[in-house]
Amino acid sequence: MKTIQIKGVSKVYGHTKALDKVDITIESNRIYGLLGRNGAGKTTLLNLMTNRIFPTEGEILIDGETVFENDRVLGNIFYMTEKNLYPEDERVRNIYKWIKEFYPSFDVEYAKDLSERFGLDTKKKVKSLSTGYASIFKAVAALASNADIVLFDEPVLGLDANHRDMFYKELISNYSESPKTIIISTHLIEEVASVIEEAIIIKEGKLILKQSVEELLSGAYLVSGEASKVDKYIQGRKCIGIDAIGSFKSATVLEAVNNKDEALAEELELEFGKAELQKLFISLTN
Amino acid sequence: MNNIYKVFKFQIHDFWKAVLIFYFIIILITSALTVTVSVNAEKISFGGLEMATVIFLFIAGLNCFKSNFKFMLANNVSRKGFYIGNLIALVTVSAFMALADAILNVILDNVLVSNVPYESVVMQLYGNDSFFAGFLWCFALNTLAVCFGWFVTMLYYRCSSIMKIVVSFLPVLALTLFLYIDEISGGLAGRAVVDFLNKSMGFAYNNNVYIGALSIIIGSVVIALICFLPLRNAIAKD
Repeated sequence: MKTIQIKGVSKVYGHTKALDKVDITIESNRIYGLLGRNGAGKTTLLNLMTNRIFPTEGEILIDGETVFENDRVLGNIFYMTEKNLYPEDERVRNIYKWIKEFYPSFDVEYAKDLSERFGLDTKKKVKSLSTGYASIFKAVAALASNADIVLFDEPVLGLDANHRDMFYKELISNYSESPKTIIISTHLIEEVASVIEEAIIIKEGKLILKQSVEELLSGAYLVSGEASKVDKYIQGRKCIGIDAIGSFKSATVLEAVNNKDEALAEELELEFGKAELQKLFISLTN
Repeated sequence: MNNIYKVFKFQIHDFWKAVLIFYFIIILITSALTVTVSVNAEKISFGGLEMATVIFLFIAGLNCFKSNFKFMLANNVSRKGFYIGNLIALVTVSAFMALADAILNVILDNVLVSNVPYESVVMQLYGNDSFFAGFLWCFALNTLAVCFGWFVTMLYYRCSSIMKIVVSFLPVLALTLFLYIDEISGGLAGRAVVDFLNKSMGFAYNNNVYIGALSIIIGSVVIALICFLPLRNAIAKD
């Protein structure tokens, strides 16, 4: 059990309140998506959870113990940051060896195997890696860390579609083999929608939602068909997104479907579909 | 405790190549000087190679923070763990280099160039050729240099651009102020400093090298303790 408790955490930078009295309890062995617009406070929260920065007020506990300057607790967390914190002149394979020193469960062989599958040359120095390969290197290190809690901040930054797909598949495979608490902070919401179990949404430093993705999506649906009929259907309903191509239109409606809705849709020859997490996110954060 | 050892190990790994290159260069220079001085033994002498070690360690101290601190943050090592592990590594390297210098002094003084006038820094300052005294004094000075370099680099790391300029000008301002005070006090301030140095370095007590070493060690401990202040709330910066 590695439960993370974020209690009344605020972080102020000069005149900017990056986080404002955030309270979250993160249960163990689940995959969370930490979502929010630019500057919402996602990275600040992850940095606070790993003692990289210090809260202005509040505390963060893991199994009841503070993370503040606590080597024992911090040793259970691996944080893949967007920034490179690794020595630029060191070779990737040497860094794997050094990570093993600090994370005894780090699987060097798995890291090498993953690197090979991603086409990452471990003989290269960190400074010579492209943006995409730098992300791959850090993501591989995080996946191979075998830490109880793994935090990813923009893990697919600069990765092409193939590598992104490989990463998500490997993440699920890794999680299935060895369950752990995973928190992914990303802007590519639709891509992670199928990976994450629970969404944590932050807006302007405040927690606005923490809910399972399944529950969240069950509270909305997509209705599509001929544009004029869709327009007729959505009248008086809370519509959070509309896409139109020619005479075809699809709209995301923020409410659960009832029998009356189904009957009306049938009458108008409209089809129901699953709402997109991204649409809900845009609606919630606008 | 575990992390302290790992930080120590990483820091030593970071140092050893530079130390090897340094001694390779020192041996080359020493060999060249030995030949030169042997030819002109009556005209010139040489000594005090330990001061090169002090300069090397000061620069090493200046360069041993940013990259290593970021790497330790990447591995979730606490600042306290990083501080203690790093400090132990700095003291160890200082001791190793003081020992290497003391051995080099013995070789230069007695084995290789017995016909060439060579004098270590301790011999020149205190007239003491004891191996242990030389080692202790150099170890103290090495530690002071490396800790001071470490402190300066951390201070700059924490400062904003404006504060960096202010910090850079502080020594000049302090010196100017001191010279002014010395002038208006009729040389009293200058004499007080010289008196303090004479006593603290052991010159006033029959050139007692151990008093000098002890004073430098106290200075090193003070700087080492102060080093934790800029590190305490440091965060990863580009």
